[in-house]
Order: sequence, then structure tokens, then C-alpha cells
Amino acid sequence: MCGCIPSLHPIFTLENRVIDDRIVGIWMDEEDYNNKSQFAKKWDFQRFTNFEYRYKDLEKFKINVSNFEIDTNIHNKLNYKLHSQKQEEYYILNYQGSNSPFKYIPRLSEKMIVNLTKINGELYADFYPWLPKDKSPYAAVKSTRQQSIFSMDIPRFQSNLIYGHTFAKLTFDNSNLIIKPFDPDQFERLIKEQKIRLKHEIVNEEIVITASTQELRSFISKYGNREDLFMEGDILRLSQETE
Amino acid sequence: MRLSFHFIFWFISVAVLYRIFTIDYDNGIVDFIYTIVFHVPLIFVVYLNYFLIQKLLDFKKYTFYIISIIVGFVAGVMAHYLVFDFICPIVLPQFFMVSLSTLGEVGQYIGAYIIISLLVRLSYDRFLIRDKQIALEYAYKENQLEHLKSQLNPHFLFNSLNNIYSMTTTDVEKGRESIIRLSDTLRYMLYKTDSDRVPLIQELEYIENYIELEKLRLESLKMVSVEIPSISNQLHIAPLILLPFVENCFKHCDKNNPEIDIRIEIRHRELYLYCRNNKAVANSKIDGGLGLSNAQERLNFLYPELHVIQIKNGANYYRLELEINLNEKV
Repeated sequence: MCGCIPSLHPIFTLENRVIDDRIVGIWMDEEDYNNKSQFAKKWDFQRFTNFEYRYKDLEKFKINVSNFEIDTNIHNKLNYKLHSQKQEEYYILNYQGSNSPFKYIPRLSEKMIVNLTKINGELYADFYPWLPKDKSPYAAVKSTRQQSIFSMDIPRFQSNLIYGHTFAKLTFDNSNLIIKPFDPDQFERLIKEQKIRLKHEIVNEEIVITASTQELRSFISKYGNREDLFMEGDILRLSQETE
Repeated sequence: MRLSFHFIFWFISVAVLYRIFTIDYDNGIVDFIYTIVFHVPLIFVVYLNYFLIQKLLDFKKYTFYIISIIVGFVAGVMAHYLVFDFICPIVLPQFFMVSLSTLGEVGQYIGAYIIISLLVRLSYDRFLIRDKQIALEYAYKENQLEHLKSQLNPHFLFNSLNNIYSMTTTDVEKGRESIIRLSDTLRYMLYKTDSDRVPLIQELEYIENYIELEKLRLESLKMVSVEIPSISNQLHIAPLILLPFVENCFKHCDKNNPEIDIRIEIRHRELYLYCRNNKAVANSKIDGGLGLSNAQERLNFLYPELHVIQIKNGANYYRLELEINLNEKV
């Protein structure tokens, strides 16, 4: 539910996922933008289309292609007949941390899937670690560990990894994008003081929200206007690279 | 219903729902608060149902009851969301909780509580009626015993037999007739009054016999006006339900100058009994005694909402008017 408390379930379903291209572009902290800092953090949101093809007589086989559609001739060349195809629209965030002044310290880089949804007229973002659907060993390791491992070994313990969702409220204010994550400290305090009724587990002293999507949405719908539940947030300006 | 019963019911309800609501949750005190808040609309529908049962179902207004309870059901579901979405944030702002039930689930809870409260009420009524029935059966037996005693008491028998004996010297035919009446009266009392309902015609014959015998017993009885209609065999009545009122006239009339007026009429399957007797000055405060109160209790039980009784206890007379709707389903 919170900025740093992961949730097992998203806050959106396919029915209430929305597209809002105002988010597309490279965004910077307002301060970095004004100072034209070379060490600026960058939030690069790009629209993403995922095509999924399923073939007849091949129940488990599917192809995911990102951002471009397969030429129909390819289907014809395959021995299997196309059964169905699905198209999903969401956003990819390439987040880059502050540029290090030292060359040997790599810049932090994270890639997240961002789904937008509206609850009570407010726009919310669901952040989820980027994991290509084909689950190639290289991609899986890279996306979860956020580091390059040039190994073609199949990870033996990939199933040990569980990915979590984090959520934030998005507001567009003039040319600014304000991203307000839920305040993790406030949530932790409320849970410990037994003042919040939300399905969760405490694993190794860390809170993991296990509430269903419906429960999460009901909660946000009711308490989304409580400012004390949110962090101050990041105020971002669209970078001139985009403009 | 007793207050303790309500308390036990809601205590069990809170315990059960708390257990259900904490199967997947472990949020401590807020789970308990949630359970209590969840009960607010349930309490509303249960007592609304209770009210509707009293006002409609008990009077067999089934259609009105069903319509009203459907409206109550919808109101209960709305109350659920009203409580969680509007009242809770104002009354309990420090607690963060949302109704986690879907509309269907809320409907199931509300519906279940309506059905449970209906069943509890019907079961309770059943126990209550059984207790009342036992008490009334006891009262009836007591009444019957009292009546039997009064009829079979040596004084009554002696007087009746003596009068019949005197009559045989003057009017043999009437004497024989009186013996038959006495015999019929005793037979009816001993063998016919065990069933729930008897043909009205038999009950009226019995009353007629009784009055005739009383007339013999009270030598000084000057004026007894009795009108009993001829009726069909189709009507039935609870045995000995009228007798205490008739008996009362003879028991409490002015023995020196008795004036008794008894009339029975049948109007559209409704029985109308009119009894009036004068009272001696010494008996002016007599109000009917145990026999009459037992008889009224029996009427309330056997003919609920089907009878009207009016009593006028004057300074020198006692008047009773009773109407019974015999159109009941036996």
C-alpha cells in the first residue's frame, strides 16, 4: 500500500486500468530542473504496448512481443494456427538515480512497470518491477537484481523471488507531476497500534500487505483524501529533453 | 422477550462474527471495533424484523410483512454502507477500516440475520405458546374440576333429585324429562368435554339442560328468560367455554328474587351470548371470581382476535356480552 511497504496484489484490474499520456516523458526533480544539475535524477515514463499471441493446439505456448506487432505473415509461416491475441497498454518507468561524480560508481537504474488507475476520480500509479513476460533467465535475473549478470545459466532459485507492488497518488499541477507515495512510517505505526484494518503479514519484521485488489481499492477510495497517509512526494518537471 | 435473552443473542453473534472476521486478519483491537460496527445495521434489521413480526406477521398480514421486510432488507444494506462510509470516519476517526464485504456478501449477512431473527422469534413464540397452553390446559382442567364438583356436589344432586321426586308426584312426564336432563348433563360433562371442539348444538343442549336443572334447584327462581336458537350441526365450539358465564348468573343472582336473562344468538357464524342477572346487595361487589377469569383466559387462548367480551358490573346487576367468531380453522 505504501511507498516502501510492498503489496502482493495490485490496485488495478484490467477493467479499471487507464491510459493517461500526460505522464509520458522524462521528468526531473523541480530543484534539479531549475539548477540544470548534471547529477539530476530522471524519471522516464514511456508508453508500452504488449502483444500476446496464443496458438491453437499449443495450449501453453504464447509469444509476447513488446511495442511492435508481429507481421501476420509470421503467423502464417508458423505451423500453428493463431488462436487469440491480446493487447495490453501500460507504461514503463526507467528511473535513474543521481549521476555519480565518480566514474566507477554506476548510476542507479531501475525499471518498473507502471499501471495507472482511477479511484474516486483521483489518479494512482501501481509500480511493479519490470519482468519480461517470457521470463528468460537473463531478463529475470537482471530485472530483479537490477544488475547485469552476463550468464546464460538458468537461475535455479528464480521461484524464490516474489515481486511486490507499491502505490502512489499522481497529480498534474500546471507543468508539474506530483508523485505522492503512501507514507510507510505512518502505515507501520497504524498497524502496530492496531488502528488500521488491512490484511497483511509480518515476514522477518517486514510488513507485506496481502489485501486483495478490491480491498485495496475500497481502502484508497475511503481514505485517499487523508493527506496524513501520504508522503510529501516528489514534484517533477518535464525535462527539456522531452520538450 | 427477556433482556437477558437479547444480551446472550448479541454476545454470541459478536463472538461468531469476530471469529469469522479474524480468520484472515490479525489487526487486534481494530478487528473487534470492526465487528461491533458491523453489528449496527444487523441490530437495526433484527429489531425492525421483530417489530414487523409483532405488527404484521402476528396478525397474519403475510403480504405486507414480505413487502416490508424486503424494504427493511434494502434499508439494512444501505445502513451498512452508511455506517462504514459516513458515520465511522466521524465517530471513530482514529481507526482506519473499510467494509470489506461486497454488496452480495452484505446482503447475505443482512438476509441471514433477518431469517435467524424470524426463526428465533417463531421458536420463542412456540415455547411461549406451549407454556401458555400448559397453563391454560391446567386452568381448563381446574375449571372443569370446579364445575364437576359444583355439579356433582351432594347438595346439587340432592336438590335436583328431591325436586325431580316432588315433580313425579304432580307431573310424572316432567319428572322423567328432568331425570333425562340430569343424566344427559352428567354424561356430557364426563364423556364429551375431552375433545378440543364439540358440535355447538350439543354444547347448547347441555347449557339448556343445565339451566333447566338450575331452575328446579332454585325454587324461588321467578324469572329466567332463555333464548337458544336452533342451529345447524356444522358449527363447532370449544367445550364448556360458555358455561362459566351462564353458571355465574345462577351463582351470583339474588337468591330471594332472582332475575336472570340469558340469550344466545347465531349471526353469520358468530355466536352472541348475553347474560344478565340481578345481584343481592350483599353481593354487589362480586366481580365473577376465579371461574370467570379462567374462562376469559381460555377465550384469549382459544379464540385470539376472534372474540369480544364486554362486562358491566352494576350496583345491582351484572351483565356480560360475548361474541365469538366460530369461523375459525379448527
